[in-house]
Amino acid sequence: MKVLGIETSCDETGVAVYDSADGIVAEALYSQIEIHERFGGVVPELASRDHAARLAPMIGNVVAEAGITLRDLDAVAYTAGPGLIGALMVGGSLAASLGYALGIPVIPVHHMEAHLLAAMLEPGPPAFPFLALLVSGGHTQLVAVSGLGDYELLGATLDDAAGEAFDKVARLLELPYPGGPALAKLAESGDPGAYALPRPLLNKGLELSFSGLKTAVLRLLERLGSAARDGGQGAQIRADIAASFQAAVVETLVNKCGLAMRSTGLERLVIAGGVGANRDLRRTLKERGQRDGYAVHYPRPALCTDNGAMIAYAGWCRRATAGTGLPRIEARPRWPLEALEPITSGAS
Amino acid sequence: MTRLLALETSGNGGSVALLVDGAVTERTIATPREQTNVIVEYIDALLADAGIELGMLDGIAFGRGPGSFTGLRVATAVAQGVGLALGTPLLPVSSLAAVAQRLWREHGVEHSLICIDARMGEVFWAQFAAPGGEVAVDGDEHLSDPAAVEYRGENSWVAAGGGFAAYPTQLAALSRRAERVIADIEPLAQDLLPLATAALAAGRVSTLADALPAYLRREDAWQR
Ligand SMILES: Nc1ncnc2c1ncn2[C@@H]1O[C@H](COP(=O)(O)OP(=O)(O)OP(=O)(O)O)[C@@H](O)[C@H]1O
Ligand SMILES: [Mg+2]
Repeated sequence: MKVLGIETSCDETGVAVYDSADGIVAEALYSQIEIHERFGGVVPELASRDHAARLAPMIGNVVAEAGITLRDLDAVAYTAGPGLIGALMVGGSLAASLGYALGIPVIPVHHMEAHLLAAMLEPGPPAFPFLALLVSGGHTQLVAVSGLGDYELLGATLDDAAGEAFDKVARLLELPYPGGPALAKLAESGDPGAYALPRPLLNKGLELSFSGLKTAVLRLLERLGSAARDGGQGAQIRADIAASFQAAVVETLVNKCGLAMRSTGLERLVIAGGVGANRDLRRTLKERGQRDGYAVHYPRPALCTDNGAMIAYAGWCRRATAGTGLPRIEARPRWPLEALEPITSGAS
Repeated sequence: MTRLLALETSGNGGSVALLVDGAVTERTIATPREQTNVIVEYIDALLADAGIELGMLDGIAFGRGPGSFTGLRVATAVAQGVGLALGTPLLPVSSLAAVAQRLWREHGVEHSLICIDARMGEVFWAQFAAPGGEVAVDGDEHLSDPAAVEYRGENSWVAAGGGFAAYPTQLAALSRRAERVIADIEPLAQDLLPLATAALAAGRVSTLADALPAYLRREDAWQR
């Protein structure tokens, strides 16, 4: 079975074909970084415009690259939410009419479910049940995953998402947009022990919080003043701040995961979402898992950030839920993961 | 005979229309929120009623704006999806011209100034002439402050579109010059059909990559 996946929830246009026999057979990703960087953040209208201009030709190219024609597809899956409403509507409208015209099922996909299933695309995929750490630009959640669609939210951030904190602190450090990866790069040349930054709610249950950490970096920069700006010494200070900040985020996330693993008794931890691309986080979690006796799974970095492959795969997992009627265009800007219903057949 | 499907979702609701052997059928959509729920269903129902299939169409017309950015992307993307799947020629048509076409159809209006609300204190507008019912833009389509809207010509003309309701004071002097003001009028899909038929006959069809909305508001409008 071949499923086309379409991702347009934010600022990347992603398209892929998943073949249940061969895995991902073709994919393409266009990141709108250049469009939004001069604004310092995603401008929703401009994101929608670019998706609308790029998506249709991109689908044609990906299908050709897969060595098939559109007629060979068995289903079309698209991100129906959560995300930017206008951007979601572009992918949904195109997916619905494409599926309708081809006479094949159209499957709305939950973006965060797709993130948490992305690890299944790697060799040695995790078996259910597992704990998922969803860490992205808009989410930071610990989710107990009993099966497909069977999710229990154990804890979440009370304020900023981890990726959002990376992006905001990167802006404080005047790093180029998008900030997360740039900050992680800068942290490589810094000393993570240079500054003592808070680890909010460290041992208080499974709730998380990152806005205090961001404020602490702001205060630190104010205190350091020009010392953190000028010359080679300033550059080193900024690298030290980046490393100290990253260490605080990583320690917080790793601790919460450990807590959740102990309290649930689960044996596998799956990392998903853009911050999951962070090398320090990946390495530290792997070590902690080895020490404490649980397996840690994460997809390659390109499958952590937004992409079409995870949508195609999640669509395949959800093929049994596709309605038989005419497709409606679904776009749900807010859509809690727990609202999904368990499905009995699907993944393998 | 020509078979065309038309989609118009740039305004306050929208419609889907079908032309088969000279006969036009249409379904209207009441609100912008309804567009995504019913557009595919309405296309399917019109085709079924006419006893034809999607693959038998000679082209798909869509209101390419200007209008609601979110709405006009629905019609655009739905048209693109069919074009991609079946290779159906795509025919983008001005949504302002659709209003002028409707004025001709319903009131026999030959000269019009169409002006719709563009938010952010601005309006989309253009002047149209319809000699013998063949609607054509007279000049350019504009995005501007309501104060800059003008009608050039000595003939009598009709002012139409939501812009006249949104900016009654700024457009008061201009409205007084019009023979009549019809603010409560929306573009309809059936009025894209004559324009699309002419475009198809003239070979003016778009490829997937250029069958795109005409926003008029440029990207630098978001520059802070
Ligand atoms: N190496 C990295 N280190 C830290 N953060 C990173 C890294 N790479 C990406 N990120 C962060 O990941 C986020 C983007 O991830 P993703 O694309 O999954 O988020 P999103 O799709 O915007 O949000 P959501 O999935 O919650 O809707 C950004 O905040 C980015 O800064
Ligand atoms: Mg994401």
